[in-house]
Amino acid sequence: MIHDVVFYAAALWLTGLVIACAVLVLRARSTPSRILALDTLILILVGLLVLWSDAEGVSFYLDAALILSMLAFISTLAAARFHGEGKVF
Amino acid sequence: MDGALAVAADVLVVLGLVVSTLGVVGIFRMPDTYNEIHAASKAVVLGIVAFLLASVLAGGGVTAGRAVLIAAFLFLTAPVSAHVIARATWQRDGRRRRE
Repeated sequence: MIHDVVFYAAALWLTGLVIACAVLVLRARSTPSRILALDTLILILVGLLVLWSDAEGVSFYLDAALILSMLAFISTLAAARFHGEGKVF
Repeated sequence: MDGALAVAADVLVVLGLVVSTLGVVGIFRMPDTYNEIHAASKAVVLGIVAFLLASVLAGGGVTAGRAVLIAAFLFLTAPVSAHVIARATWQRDGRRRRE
């Protein structure tokens, strides 16, 4: 019972954090802080997926969470290197 | 025993929420990109690791392997991405100083 309450409150709160990170992405002062805010947004989405797999009792969401964290890492690497050095490789 | 595990999972979920929220608030409050990296890159990853720990405690041993995999991946990649963002900021600033 209290587990359900905690889960729904946490999911709502994490959705609020995703919205806050979207605001940060849109209103960032510089490109690196925009990349950082996007990375943080995807990591919070990973946390939401982990919470969701816990609540539903389905472990397949964790695969999606792993792939999403890999995608966040690769995209952050590519975007930051392109911003800093003008090329990715 | 089962009730104690569920309570521990709830406490870990609340802890992860608090830590991730502190990371996002840090991005809002800090004045500089370096300070934003300092606030966000550690806190959000630690919050997600708390969620993973709660998932392992609540779901039995089924999800433990994948949860450990995600946690290890995050612990490996979060410092690298923070360093790459800081390096990009530094390189842009240096180019602006030289011009």
